[in-house]
Amino acid sequence: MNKVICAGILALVAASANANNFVLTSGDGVQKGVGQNFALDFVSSGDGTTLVVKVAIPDSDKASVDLSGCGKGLPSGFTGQCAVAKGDLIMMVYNDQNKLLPKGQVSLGMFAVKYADGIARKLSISSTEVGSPDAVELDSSASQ
Amino acid sequence: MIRFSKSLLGLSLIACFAGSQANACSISAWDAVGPQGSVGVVAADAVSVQTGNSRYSGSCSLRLTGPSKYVQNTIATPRATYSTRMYVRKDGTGSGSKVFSATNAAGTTEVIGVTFTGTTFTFNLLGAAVQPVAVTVPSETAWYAVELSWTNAGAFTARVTGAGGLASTPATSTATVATAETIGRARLGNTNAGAAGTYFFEEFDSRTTQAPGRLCRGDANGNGLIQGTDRTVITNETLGTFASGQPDCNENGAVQGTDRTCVSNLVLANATCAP
Repeated sequence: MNKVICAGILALVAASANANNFVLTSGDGVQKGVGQNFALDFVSSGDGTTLVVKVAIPDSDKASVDLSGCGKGLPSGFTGQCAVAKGDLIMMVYNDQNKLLPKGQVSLGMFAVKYADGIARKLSISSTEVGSPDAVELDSSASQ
Repeated sequence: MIRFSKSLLGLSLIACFAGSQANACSISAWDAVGPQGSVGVVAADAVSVQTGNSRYSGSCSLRLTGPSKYVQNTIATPRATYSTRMYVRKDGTGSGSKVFSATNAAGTTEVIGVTFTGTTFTFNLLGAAVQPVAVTVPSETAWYAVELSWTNAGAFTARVTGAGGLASTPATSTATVATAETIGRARLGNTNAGAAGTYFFEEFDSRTTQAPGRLCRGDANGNGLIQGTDRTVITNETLGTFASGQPDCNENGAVQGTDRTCVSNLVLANATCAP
């Protein structure tokens, strides 16, 4: 777990230069009975109110995804929702008062992917979206 | 491909302004009111969302109450093939209306007729009912897209979608009804003398070949994508900044918080706008 934390911190530090950046961090190998653990974080510029990030799940028809950690760590007032559809894990973060996400690191939560064959796959962020209170899509990026 | 698209904004639209100024809605793109043209409609029937009226897309809709009130388009070159899409909504009162009528140029033969009672759509082709006889809809006050496709060699299909998920099996003529007739006029509104109730009409689009297709519900900013920002657009509409796309995601006739949930569900289903 320490390796996961260190890798995550390094990625976040590197990503801070690219604001509104989503960071996908994978755990160290496959944990028996759990699968692969992943953490999603967001380095916020402080100007976004809604987020949508999609993580491509290879061989998604052979995978089971634990979404119970979705949204854990979000700032108060924000809602996180996750789903798996059409080969992607989709995470959406929003609030209905057009409140801005705070500047800096925002934890979006964790998820786990388990394959029947026990073999780890490499996941990647396939799309990102950050929306402003004016409903303008802001520049965003991904690091993994 | 010849395309005839009638936005309720019309050709004389003044630039739309946000905020407190009203958007100008116009029916000037349709035939002028007269014995051979549009009937019973006035400029004020093109209503703006800013005055509290229901609309499906953009800022305007046509609101008609009572019988024999319709806009008409006279087609310069009558057509042997015709595809069209329109959005219709009933406000829950009245018994029904023939909401669309396409005739020959002289107006003496109705080629296609569409009647909506609020609970069912029925279709007539050259005066005969098309099977299945009626398409039943779940909500009397929801928005419905009606898509028609016809050739005078005899092929005809009609399809109704709406109310946030209804998609009817296309009603198809059971017999080839070939005819020498062509479509020279199209009427949208409460076209018959027996029409009763208040109806809203929107986004009429007719073409000779390629079907217009439907607008993308939930695409509140009209950019062709279903995104998180569409949820924000809906929030902003409830706060007074009206959306330019299709914010009534569940198509219930009003833009509300439930439309945000609808958009979220579409995003989480990885939905895309249909081509």
